[in-house]
Amino acid sequence: MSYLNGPRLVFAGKFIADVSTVNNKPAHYKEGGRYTADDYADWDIGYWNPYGTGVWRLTDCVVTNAINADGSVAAGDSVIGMAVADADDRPPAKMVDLDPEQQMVSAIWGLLVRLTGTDGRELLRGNYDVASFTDLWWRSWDAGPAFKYTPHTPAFFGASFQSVLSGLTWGDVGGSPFLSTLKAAADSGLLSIKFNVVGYNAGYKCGPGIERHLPNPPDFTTGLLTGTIGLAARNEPRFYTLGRHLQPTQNVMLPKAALNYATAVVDDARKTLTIDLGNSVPFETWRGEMVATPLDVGYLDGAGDFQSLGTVKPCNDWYRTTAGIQGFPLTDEQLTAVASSPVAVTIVDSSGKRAVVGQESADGKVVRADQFVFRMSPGDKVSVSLWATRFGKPLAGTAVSLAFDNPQTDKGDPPTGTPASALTFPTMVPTDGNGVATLVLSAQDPGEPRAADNLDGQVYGVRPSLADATYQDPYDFISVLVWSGYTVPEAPTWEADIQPILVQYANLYPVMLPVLDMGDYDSVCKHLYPLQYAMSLEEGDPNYMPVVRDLSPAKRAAILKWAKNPVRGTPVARPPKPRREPAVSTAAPDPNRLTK
Amino acid sequence: MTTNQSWAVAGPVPPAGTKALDLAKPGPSLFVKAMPLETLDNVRAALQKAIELEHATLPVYLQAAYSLDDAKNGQIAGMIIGVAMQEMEHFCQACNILVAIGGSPAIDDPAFVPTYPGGLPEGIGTQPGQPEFIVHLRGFSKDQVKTCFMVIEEPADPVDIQDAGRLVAASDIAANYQTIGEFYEAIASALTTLCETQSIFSGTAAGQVYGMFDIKPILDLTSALDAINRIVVEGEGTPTSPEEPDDATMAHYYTYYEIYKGRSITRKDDGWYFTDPAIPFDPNGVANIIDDPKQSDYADGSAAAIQSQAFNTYYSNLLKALHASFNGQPDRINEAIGLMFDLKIQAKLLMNTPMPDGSGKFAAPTWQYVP
Repeated sequence: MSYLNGPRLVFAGKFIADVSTVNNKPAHYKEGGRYTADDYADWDIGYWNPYGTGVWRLTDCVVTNAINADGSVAAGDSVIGMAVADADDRPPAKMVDLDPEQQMVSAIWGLLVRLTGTDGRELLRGNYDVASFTDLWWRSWDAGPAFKYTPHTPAFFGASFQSVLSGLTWGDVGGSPFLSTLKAAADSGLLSIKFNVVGYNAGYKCGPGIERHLPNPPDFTTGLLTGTIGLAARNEPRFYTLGRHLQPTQNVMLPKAALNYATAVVDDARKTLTIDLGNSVPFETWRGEMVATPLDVGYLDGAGDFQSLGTVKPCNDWYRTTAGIQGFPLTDEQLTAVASSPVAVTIVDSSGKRAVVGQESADGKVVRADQFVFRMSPGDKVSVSLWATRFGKPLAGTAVSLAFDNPQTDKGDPPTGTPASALTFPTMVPTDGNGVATLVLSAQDPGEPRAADNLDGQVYGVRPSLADATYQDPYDFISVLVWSGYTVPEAPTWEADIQPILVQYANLYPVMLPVLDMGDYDSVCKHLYPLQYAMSLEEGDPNYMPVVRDLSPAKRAAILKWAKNPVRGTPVARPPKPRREPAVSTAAPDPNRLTK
Repeated sequence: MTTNQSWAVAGPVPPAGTKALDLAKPGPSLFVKAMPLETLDNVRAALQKAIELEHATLPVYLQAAYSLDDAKNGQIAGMIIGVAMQEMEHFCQACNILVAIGGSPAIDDPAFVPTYPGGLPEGIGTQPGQPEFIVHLRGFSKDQVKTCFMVIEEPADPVDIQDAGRLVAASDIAANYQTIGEFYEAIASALTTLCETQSIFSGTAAGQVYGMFDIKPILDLTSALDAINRIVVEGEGTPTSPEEPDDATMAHYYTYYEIYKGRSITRKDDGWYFTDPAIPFDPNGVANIIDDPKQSDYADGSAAAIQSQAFNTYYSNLLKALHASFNGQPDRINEAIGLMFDLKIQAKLLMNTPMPDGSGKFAAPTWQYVP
């Protein structure tokens, strides 16, 4: 059960991702003085949004369509036109990287999603479970006419977020038959939510040798969003849809790819195949027209020939009112065939030849971790649910292999994944009758492998795989940040213990400086109450500090201990950190790697 | 707008040791329209007005404080923020008293939010015969301190009055409260009278917000009167001293007077004197923001529009969080504290965002309500 089954509403609008960018480079974490306003104005330090707040918001989002459980459109239902909004009585959500060396799983923390009627009355609210984006790709082929100068690279990329809404509170939905049905069907207490982001505006291109253009263009830090809210089951993945997973046949990190990864589900009872192409169809230009090439959805028969089930005709209106989701009725024969044949999407290319642009693997096998981003202290263990399917059905009693697949590093940055001994896991786990394997990750103290760069702990990647499976999604691995071991001092003082931890935040997040200088004793003392409060919260709380969620629980405990008796102490001469040997990247740098 | 020429300009900083003879009120004066205060409902309505008034000062004070560069004018910014923090405390105290007598503070309402330029909330306005008192939303200037902040905070009877004559006839004043302090004292008096014949306090701290700002729950008439006394003294000082009795903090009016004159005020045997330290003002340390900004001043999609919309969203969320805090969910006050951070960050961002018209001015928060 997911947003692809049962009733779902479709919404479209914009988002704001006011991410901060000084923290994008590991080099900026180093100790040694404070940055100045001139430093932040230097693209090499400040990058494209040095004064970003980290805030992530939904704006101008409205319900554009509602689909009944039988696939029909809930035409005329009062839900259409309602607003999908975020918090109205608490701080805004924040967008946070896992680590400067793993920026490809940025997550939204503390997002409240609300549905409000045109009269302003709230009909539904729910908390978005922290979830990271996935399936980032080069979605807008060209900048188009919107920008005066070449836009910064994130403009071209699209991605998707999938999660669940929990802690649901319903208002009076009696005026909307659709919402009444949705509410009645949502007996799990959860709803699934999936949205696609595209057309982001990160200003004009900046980098070595590139002339910097300021001020930023209109709509800076905003992007376009299209999404769906539907049903969710408690015993299914929260961040992933059990179904049919199609992989593209072209390199999606380069422009001109015709299709990105896509998910479909087959409903045997309703005899329907529903495909989500919401993050799969490219745009001609940034915030311009969708690429209108018709997409035939079907399957590859035993002979490898494409059998069409129907056609999607992409256009902006279609996207806005469907979020890229389309259903196809199946005959009994088609239902039978699809059950064991790879689902595929084809186009007729410019030479008149039919070309497969995305398909399930021939073996139909897929495995993915549901939650795929973790932060761990030494001694922590976490359970990860791995879901294995074959042509969308649970793959029971099979072995899932596990191996390191650490995040790639940029030239000159410290290596990731070392020491390997700090993150241990079995190399193989079996799936149960539901196709679920439970992987336990155990963290040990990695020491301070990145101390020369003043980065806490180490990041790791762990990739699950099925023997002989040919499906490959580079994003389908587990990212883990393991914090360095740290002993909370008996009597922490500002100078010896706390300033060295907090000054990094002052340097990396200059937007805070006019309000709170985390590197300054007096400033921190002046704001001790709100700091203590914010740092004592559960980290999913929108008020939690540090916003970037990169402070280990042990160091946080030291700060809270100090805050009860905020002694300044005397300055401590710290020996300079040993210089690190220049990193040798374990893998060839990906020229298309997007640095957010 | 001043009628007293000695007030027309801040002038040079007076030498230390100068007797603060002109520690007098300027015109125009702020008046609070009289309200009937006979029934419990009357008192609840008056407290609601008090809550609105306490809130109404915050955007103007904070706009000025946020416009100051802390590195150059940190002392003045700190003094204004100190006053604003006490206004927040007064806001909470008034809310608690209202809750304690069975009322429900109404905070999350578009009507709760003043517009600029404009008067303070309804019923708090200008006495007939006085120049109209209009509040502008502006960055810091000594003129703003003099013509706005000191008017708002003017005590009933400033100490050491030299130019003592009020600018209106007594008959005009009779029906109104001359100051916010008098308004509170009338509420205190009405509470006392009501308590003689009925039980009006719930006697429980439930639903109140206390602990921070050293606020104590309102359980009975005594604690209510203590709270009101604290509000009045912090705001206006006492008839004999500009200082708050428990510490050396100047009441709001005199704090602003110190900022205006650029020098501290200290008591000696024979009166009040300007003393060290001076309170320096660096005119280069003020953001050059536009006056009385509105969201519509910022072009759609511009950085200023987006950041201003964010500010207004957080401001409105703050009011909604406060409303929830004083309407049954006191723990929500922490959401409000979190939002205060977001608000200040957003204000500073806006004040660093140039207006696109080439005027050299910068954008500023518009303090508008987003439903």
